[in-house]
Amino acid sequence: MILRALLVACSLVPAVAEAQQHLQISLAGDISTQNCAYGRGDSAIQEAKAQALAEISRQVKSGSLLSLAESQQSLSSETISYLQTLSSLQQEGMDLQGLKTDISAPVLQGSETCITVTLLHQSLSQGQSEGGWATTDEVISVTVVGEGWEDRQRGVSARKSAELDALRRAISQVVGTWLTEQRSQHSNTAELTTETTSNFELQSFVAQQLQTKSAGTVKAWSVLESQPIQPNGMKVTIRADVEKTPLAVASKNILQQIGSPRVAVVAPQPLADTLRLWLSEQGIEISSAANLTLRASHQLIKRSGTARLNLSIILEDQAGNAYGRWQNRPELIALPYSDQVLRDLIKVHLSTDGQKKEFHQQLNSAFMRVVKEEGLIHDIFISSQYLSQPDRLNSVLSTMGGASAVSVSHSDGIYKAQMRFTGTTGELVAALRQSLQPIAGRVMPQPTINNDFNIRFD
Amino acid sequence: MNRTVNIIFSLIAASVLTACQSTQQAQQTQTGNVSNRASNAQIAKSAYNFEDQDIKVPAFFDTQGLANCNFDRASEADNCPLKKPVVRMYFSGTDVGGEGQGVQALREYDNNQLLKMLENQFAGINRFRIVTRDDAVISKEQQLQLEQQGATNVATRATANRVLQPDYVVKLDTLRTVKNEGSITGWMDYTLEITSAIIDPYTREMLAYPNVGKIRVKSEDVRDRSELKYVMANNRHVSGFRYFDSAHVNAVMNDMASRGIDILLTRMLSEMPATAQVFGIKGNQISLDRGQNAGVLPNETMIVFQYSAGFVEPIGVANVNPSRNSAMGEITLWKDSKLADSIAKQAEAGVYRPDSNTKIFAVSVGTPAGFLESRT
Repeated sequence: MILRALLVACSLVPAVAEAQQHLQISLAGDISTQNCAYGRGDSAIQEAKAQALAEISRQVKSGSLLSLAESQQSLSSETISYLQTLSSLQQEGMDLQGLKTDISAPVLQGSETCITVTLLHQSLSQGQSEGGWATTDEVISVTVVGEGWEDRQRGVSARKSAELDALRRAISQVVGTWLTEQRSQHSNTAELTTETTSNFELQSFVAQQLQTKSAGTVKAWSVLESQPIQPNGMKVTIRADVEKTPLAVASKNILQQIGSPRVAVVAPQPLADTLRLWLSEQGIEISSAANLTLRASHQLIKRSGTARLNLSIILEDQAGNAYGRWQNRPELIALPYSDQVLRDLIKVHLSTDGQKKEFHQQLNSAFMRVVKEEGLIHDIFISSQYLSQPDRLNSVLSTMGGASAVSVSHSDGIYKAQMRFTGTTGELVAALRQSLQPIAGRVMPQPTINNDFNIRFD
Repeated sequence: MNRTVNIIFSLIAASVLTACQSTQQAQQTQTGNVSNRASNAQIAKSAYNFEDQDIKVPAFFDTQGLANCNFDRASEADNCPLKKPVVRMYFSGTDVGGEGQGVQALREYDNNQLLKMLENQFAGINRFRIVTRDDAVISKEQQLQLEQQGATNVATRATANRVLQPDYVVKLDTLRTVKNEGSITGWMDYTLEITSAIIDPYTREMLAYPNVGKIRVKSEDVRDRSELKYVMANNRHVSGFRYFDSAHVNAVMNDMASRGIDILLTRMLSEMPATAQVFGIKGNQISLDRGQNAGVLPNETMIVFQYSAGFVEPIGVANVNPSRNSAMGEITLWKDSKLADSIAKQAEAGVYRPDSNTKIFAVSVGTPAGFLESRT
C-alpha cells in the first residue's frame, strides 16, 4: 500500500513540472500557453481557448504560476504583485473569461487546431454597474437637449416649442429605461417589446402618447442652457425630474392597449379554428363584435404528389381599412398530398417560431398603427328623444378630447355617430355624458355597452 | 568573261533555290482518328507500383491553402478550397426517334431511377454538395416526423435547416440508339452516349470546367453478344433475347448507364483531383491538412511536390488515407532528386516542416486503384 502511494506521488511530481512548462510569463506580465482542440474552425478555436484559460486559471489558483514567476529573476516586483492580485481574485472566484486575452493565428496539427492564448497584463478593478430604473429614488433626473421653431399660426414661441420637444425627449428617455427594465423582469412585456419592429419606435411612440394624454409625469424641470438657432429657432438644454410611478402606470396602460386588443376572425375551416386557438395562446382576445378583423385565406400548392401551403392574413377594421398583412413562407415544408395535408400544414406553419414572431410583429405594428391613428372606430347610437339640438351633435363630439374623424348619420329615430377615440370605453362614456349635456333635451340615461366599440343611449 | 558571269549567276540562282527549299511548312498537328469505340475508366496506379519517371505533377493541381477558411460548411468563404458548389442533378434523355425492331422497347426506357443512382454516387466523391430531387422520400419522412415528433419540432427544424440553394445544375444528356444485325439469327446492339454539363441556372452559362467529355457505352461492354441473340421465323420472334420487351431492354440499358456513371465518376476525380497541403514529414510519413472534407479517398495515390516561386518540383509519391479533416500518407518512393534527398534526410532525423517561403502539397493522380472494386 505504502509502495503504491509512493508510486502515485512519484508519477505526480513530473506532471506538475510539465504543466508549469506549458505556461510562459513575459516580462510585461502576460501569461501565455499553447493549446490544441480537435476539429477545425471557430468551434475548435473556442474550445482550445477555453481549455487554455482553464489551464491558466488552474495554475494561477494553485499558486504554481506564482512560484514559477518568483523563480524567474527577471520579473519586476510590479509584475509579481499583479500576479499575486490575480491569484487572490481567482481564489475569490473571478472568471478569467471576462478578461482581456490575445489569441494567436490558429495552426493546424493533424486533426487538431492549435492556438496560443495570452492573458494580457491588465487592470483588475471591476467596474461599477450604472444606476438605472432599479434605484430607490422615486424620481429620475435626466438632462436632454430640445429644439423648436416659432409657429405663429398656433401662437407658439420658439422657446416654448423647444421646451416641449425637450420634455418629450426626457419622457422618451425614461420610458426607454422603463422598457429595458420591464424586458428583463417580465416575459410578457418582453415579448411585446422585443417583437415590435423597433424598440426605439415603441419607446418614442409611448412617449408621444404619454405627452398627449397627460403632462403629469414630469415633476419639475429647469432650463440649463438656451441658444438661438437661425432662423427663428431655439435650442434648450433642460434638466427634468420624471416621476417613476405615474410614468410606469401610464406606459403600462398604453402597452396593454397595443398588446392585448380584440379581434374577430374570418377564415375558412379548418384554418379558423386553428387560428382562434393560436391567437388565444398569444394573449389576443377573440370577439365576433371586435372592431378589428383578421381575414385569413389559404391555398394548397400541389406539385408531383406533394403539397405546400400558402397562408395570407389581413388585419382590417369594420370600415375596411387595412392595418397589417402577413404572409407565411410556403417554401418551408412540403408534405405528401392527402386529405389531412391542409390541417397538418396549417399546424406546422403556425408552430414555426420565426413565422409566429413575424405574425405577432405584424399584429403589434398594426395595433400600434390603430392607436397612432387616434384610436379605433367607435359606433355611438343615441335615440333622437334625448337630443334637443341634434344638428350640433357632430361639432360637440369633434371637440371632445381624444376624439377625431366624427361622422353622424340618422335613421329610424336613432342618431349613429362614428368616431375614433384614443382612450378606453369607460373614458369615452364619461366624456360623452359630459359633452352631450348642453345639447341633450333631458337627462341622459346610462348607456348600454354592447361591446367596446358599440355604445347605445336608448 | 561572259561565261564567268553566267556561272556566277547560275550559282546565285542555285543557292537561292536551295534556300527556298529549306523553308518547309511547320508540322505541328497530325491527323487523328475519330473513333466510336466504347469509353473506358482510367484509374490511378497504386503508389506502391510507381517508378521514378512516373513521379510528375498531374494536371489541375491547386495550391490554395486553408488560411481563408472558416470551416463552417454553411457559410464557407469563397476563396477557401473546401467550399464546394451546391448542385442539383438532372438526367435528361433524348427521345429515341424512328421505327424498327426493338425501338419501341428502348423508347419506353425510363431513366428517372438512374437520377437517384447518380445523386448517390456523386455525393460520395465529395466534389459537390448535392441537393436531392427525391421529393417523395423527403416529404414522406417529414410527414412521419410530423406524426412522431409533433408540429413544433418539425417546424423548428424546418426553419433552422432551409433547403440549400443550388449554385449550379449538373445535367447529364443521354443519347440511346439501337441497331440489329443478322437475319434469322440476329443480335441487338445498343449504344448509350453520355455528356455532362454544369450550368449556372441564372446566367445560363455552361461552365467549361470540369470537362468530362463524352462517354460511350455499348451493349457488348455489359453483355456477351450471345445474350443479346435471338431467332426469328416468318418475321416473328421465336427464341432468344426479348428485344421487344421493355423490362429486358431496361435491364441492359441500366447496366450500360451504370457503367457510364462509373466512368463519369473516374473522369470527374481526375478532372477535380483532391489536393492538400503537407504540414510535415516524419520519416516516410506525411501529415496533410485536409481529409474527407476535401474529398480525399482511401488509398489515394498522391504526388508530393514543392511549390515555390511559381514552380513545382516533385518530391515523391505517397499512398494516402484520410480522416475527417486531415490525412496521413506514406511516401512509397522518393523522387531521385537533390531536393527530395535533402528533405528525406531532414525527415529521417525528426519532423521536417516546410519553411515560410516554400510550401509542400500533395495532389491526387486520379481515381484510387481500388475505387472501382469497392465503390462501384
